Amino acid sequence: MKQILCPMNGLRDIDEFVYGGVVRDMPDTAHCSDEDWSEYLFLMDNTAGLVREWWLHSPSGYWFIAERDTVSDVISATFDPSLFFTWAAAEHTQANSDD
Amino acid sequence: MTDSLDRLSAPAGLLIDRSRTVNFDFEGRRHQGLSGDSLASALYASGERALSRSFKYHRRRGALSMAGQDANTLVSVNGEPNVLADMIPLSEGLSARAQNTWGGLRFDALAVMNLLGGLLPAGFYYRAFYRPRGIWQFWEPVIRAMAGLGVLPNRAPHALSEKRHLHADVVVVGAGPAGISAALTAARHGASVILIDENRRVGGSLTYDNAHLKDPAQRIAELEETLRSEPGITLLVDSVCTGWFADHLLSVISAGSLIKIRARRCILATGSFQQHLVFRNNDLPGVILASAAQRLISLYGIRPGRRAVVATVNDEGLQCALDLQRAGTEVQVVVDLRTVGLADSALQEKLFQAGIRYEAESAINEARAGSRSGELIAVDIRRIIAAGELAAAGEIIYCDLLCMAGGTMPAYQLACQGGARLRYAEESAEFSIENLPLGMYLVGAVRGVRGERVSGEWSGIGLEQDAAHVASLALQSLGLIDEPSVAVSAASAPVNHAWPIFAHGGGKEFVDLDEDLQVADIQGSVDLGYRDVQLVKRFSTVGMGPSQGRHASLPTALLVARATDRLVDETGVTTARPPFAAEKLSVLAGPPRHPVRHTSLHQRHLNMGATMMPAGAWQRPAFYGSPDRRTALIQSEVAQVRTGVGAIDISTLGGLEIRGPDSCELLAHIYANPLRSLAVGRARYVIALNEMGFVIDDGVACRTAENNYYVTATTTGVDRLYREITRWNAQWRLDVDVVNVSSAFSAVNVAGPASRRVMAALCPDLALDRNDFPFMACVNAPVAGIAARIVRVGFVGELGFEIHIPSSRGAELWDSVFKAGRDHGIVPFGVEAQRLLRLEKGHVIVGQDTDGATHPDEVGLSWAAKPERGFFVGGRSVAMHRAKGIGRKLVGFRLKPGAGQIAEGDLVMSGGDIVGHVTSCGAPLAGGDTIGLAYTADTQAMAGDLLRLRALDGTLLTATIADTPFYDHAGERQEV
Amino acid sequence: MVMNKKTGSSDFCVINLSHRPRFGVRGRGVSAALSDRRVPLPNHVNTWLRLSSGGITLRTGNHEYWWLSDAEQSGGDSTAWRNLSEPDCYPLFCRDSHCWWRCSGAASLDVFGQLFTIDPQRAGLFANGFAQTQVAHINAIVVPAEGGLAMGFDILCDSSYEEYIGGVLNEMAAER
Repeated sequence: MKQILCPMNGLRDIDEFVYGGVVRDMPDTAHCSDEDWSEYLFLMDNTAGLVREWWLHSPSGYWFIAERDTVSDVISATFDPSLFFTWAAAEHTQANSDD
Repeated sequence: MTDSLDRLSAPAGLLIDRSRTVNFDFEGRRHQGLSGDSLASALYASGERALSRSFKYHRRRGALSMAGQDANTLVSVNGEPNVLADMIPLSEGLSARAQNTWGGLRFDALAVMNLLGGLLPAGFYYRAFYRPRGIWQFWEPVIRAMAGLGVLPNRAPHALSEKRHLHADVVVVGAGPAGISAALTAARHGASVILIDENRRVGGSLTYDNAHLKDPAQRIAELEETLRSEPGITLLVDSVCTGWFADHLLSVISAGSLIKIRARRCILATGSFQQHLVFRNNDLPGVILASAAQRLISLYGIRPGRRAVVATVNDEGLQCALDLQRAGTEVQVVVDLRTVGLADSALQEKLFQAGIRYEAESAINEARAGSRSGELIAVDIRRIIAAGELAAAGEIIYCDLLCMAGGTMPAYQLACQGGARLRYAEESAEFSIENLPLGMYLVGAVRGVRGERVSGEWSGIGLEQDAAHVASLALQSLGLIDEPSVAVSAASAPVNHAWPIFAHGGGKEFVDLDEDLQVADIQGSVDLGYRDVQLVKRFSTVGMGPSQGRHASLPTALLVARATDRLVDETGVTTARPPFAAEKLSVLAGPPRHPVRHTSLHQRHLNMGATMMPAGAWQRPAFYGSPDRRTALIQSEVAQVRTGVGAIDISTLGGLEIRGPDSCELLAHIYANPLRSLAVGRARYVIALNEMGFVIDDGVACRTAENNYYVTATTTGVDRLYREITRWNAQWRLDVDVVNVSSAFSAVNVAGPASRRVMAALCPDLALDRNDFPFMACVNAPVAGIAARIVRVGFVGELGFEIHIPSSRGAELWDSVFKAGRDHGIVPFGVEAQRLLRLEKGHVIVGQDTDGATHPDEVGLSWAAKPERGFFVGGRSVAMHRAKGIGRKLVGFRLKPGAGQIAEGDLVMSGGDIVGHVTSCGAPLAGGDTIGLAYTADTQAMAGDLLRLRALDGTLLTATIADTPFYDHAGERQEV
Repeated sequence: MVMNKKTGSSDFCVINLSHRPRFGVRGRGVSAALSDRRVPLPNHVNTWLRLSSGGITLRTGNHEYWWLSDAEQSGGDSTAWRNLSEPDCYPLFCRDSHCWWRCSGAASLDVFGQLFTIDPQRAGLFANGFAQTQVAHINAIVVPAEGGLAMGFDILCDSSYEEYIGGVLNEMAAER
């Protein structure tokens, strides 16, 4: 049975965890079109390759993000959500600073 | 019959103790064996070689491998079916019977099936028994009675076994010379090692193919001593690894219980399976593998026969012949399929010295059975003229033993369970394994490394060095060493023959002994169009028997490849899946453990005579009293709450404690209701939606302080809701703390017109009248001296007070409530009464009256979901659904008494179409109307309209739609 | 549920400690607040620290700490824990939300291997670690005994499972 390296609790059997969906940005619900919102709800990218996913370590209640290759099912990295959002925020800032 | 004590002298007989005899019986006849014998070896020593009747043709069968690798040895032992006679150690008083016979092993009435063979090709049941119609109903029970292995005893005692978990840096499967070398290498460099072997002694092939050892028993004992005294090694013998699972989790059956081993690296030293040869009557008792003969000699000290013929495709057969001769068996001839000059010259010289005849380029055309014994009495040997073709005439040789060394198949199963693939090399006619999962390594024969012959004697030095090298690769990957040891070239002499299959006009050249499949059956499957080996397997059942293709996979691959004009590499073998060996379900299940949740009041309910019911994982009181008076008791509880006072344990209700500066903002995002206006000391009914805008939970939010909310939730929904909230906040990162306090607090709802008087006795210092403590207010105050939160809510539609206290004080509170309520006739009421009470008020139960697609507007909750007020989860979807229009509506309905019986789930019909269903119903008053809630088309949902209902048995009823609530329409009683 | 009664044999026995004092706190302000009150805290998540003033502290999260007492009544000084009123300090409810079972005996390691799927070595249970994991299909915290994991371990799990887990543990004790 697969194991996941929880950033807080270490290596554990996968049945200590609960899957929480792909990490996605929610469209701005106040301003997006109906099409955009429907797409967000019902269409998934179904990427063959690296995806970022939410995972919960149930005994400790700790949510984290895992990077998993959907083809090989290898989890290459796991990290605390704060790291991810910091990076994403930095990328976002970087992109916007060019205009 | 030979005297069972007439054994070969030491050093033969590694497992037996000549000084201790053991009595047992087989097929009702008494026998004797020696301590250390397996059941099969003890019977073999007494001359009983036949152990079973084959699956389809009921042919006599005996042990093929003497190592549990074939299914011929399956017998019933002490009432337990399907025990491998060649693996089970003999015990005093053991009683065994053959399986799959009518009338016993010797005079099996179904032996006639052998004569009907022509009518029963593989898959015959797919192409017969369908005309005339209904004929299968007749034949199926007949076939079922005749087929099958063993009989399950109906009164078998329940067995419970615990499971264990072990951990190691390296697990090594197989304690033969390669496995031992790998394990020692790993342990000596600091790895923790678990070494597993399915046999009682370690040594693998050294325990039977050991002519090169002067004293095999001593060597084995030395190896065991070395392993046991190595601190880093845990040795498990008599333990079978049945499966490999992701990240090196192995299932191992040891001493009748399951061990789950988790390792960081996995080294397979599982060896290889010696193959049989395919020729007519290759299944007779007396036809065994060469290694089986060696096992009989070396492990059990038994002379395998008087006059033997050895048929071989490699040097293993020559060695076997020499071993037989040394054990006193007269070897008539060694029949070698190889062309002249390929055999090891030193071995050939030894044969010559021993006076053993040797014929190259020859094979067995047919084995012959004695007419009375049904066992081997002669073989017909012939020259090979082309692949699979023999000369027209040959020579009959009388013998009671035929030993086959038909080549090898690596024990690939565990590796292939992990995703490895088999590749076939045409030149060597051997399968090899590639594409191993990360962290898995192969050593020894499973890798194709078999040691070499030096002057005719086997030497394992190269094999051990190779295994040590592979172990060092594992050590390096673990970071325990810097550099692996030097790789050694460990090329081995070829062991396989390209075509060891000799079809015969008379058939019975068995490819798969378990399933009684001959060459024609495999060829026939392909002829019918099943060209893929996976289809051949499923149509013919080849490889599906207990031995799972250990001996059938290789010849099947060869036959299918040739029949479909493809390379063997393209055809391959069928998928390997766990278990590798049979597992008992009781061993896999372990002790039954089903988590059950109890409130702190559980014992109180039992003491009060409650009939309990499950609510998710919880146990709750359904009603109080005996089940045979169910309806009356529930109605009585309902009446008491409406006219007096009752108390219900609502501890299972979920609860969330939300604190921090951003509490209000978090709740505003999660719940559809606007909550910013909720004042301290007030409570509000709230609903939570999913992103699609559908109702997933509801509860009451109490604002207990400026930045402190206590929100209840449904019993079965709270855990999921808590996960959703914490996941959202892992993204939003609001300054808030959320705790799931469902178990931390117990709660009791004291409800009924007299509840205020009971509360007055419990909280003498608290102002309880309507102005001081209005409906939907919440207060922190001691109740019976216990710090509590009190909320006035209206779920059951009467004046009521929910008291929430720490669960450690729950029972104490319950006792106080009942003491204070005694003078007011307080009764406990359960879930069933509560459901009726809330039904009278038309209150929706999430998960009962809502389904996976319930929009708030459908259930009268449009006031609770206002997306225009700000973002909340599901808000956008609510707006979009609203714009499209809602198609169905939950309505209340009434049915007069005597008009019929309805149940939850009954359908709502419009003409011939289904437009909804009943979600809740019940009759709160004895002899009163049945009331309920149902979904129907929103165009037909006005009060007074008729609702056509269709019960499960098809009866049609008509109910009348009614406005809800059914009771106390103005809501005065709960707000008093 | 009978308290204070040891069930089992000398090889493995079980006792219910659910009535003993314990506290939990969570929040970004907790470590500063407790340090101000001179309460030593474990440096890493999933490690414990025995206090000279009595009791054991568990660090159950990045900003979450529990204190378990040593003895029946107070078994240590819990005042610091009880009176945290600084911002970003949120008391938890572990006295009521969790039950507490203590297992001990010569067979403790064997029983551990039957109950838990985790590798105690890698989880640090032979050093100063404890683990948040699962036992018998429910979430649990497992802490090694004061004398080491080989002597015993404590299990804390949701209080609604108190009878269920007690039943499982007593079954294991009865088997020995």
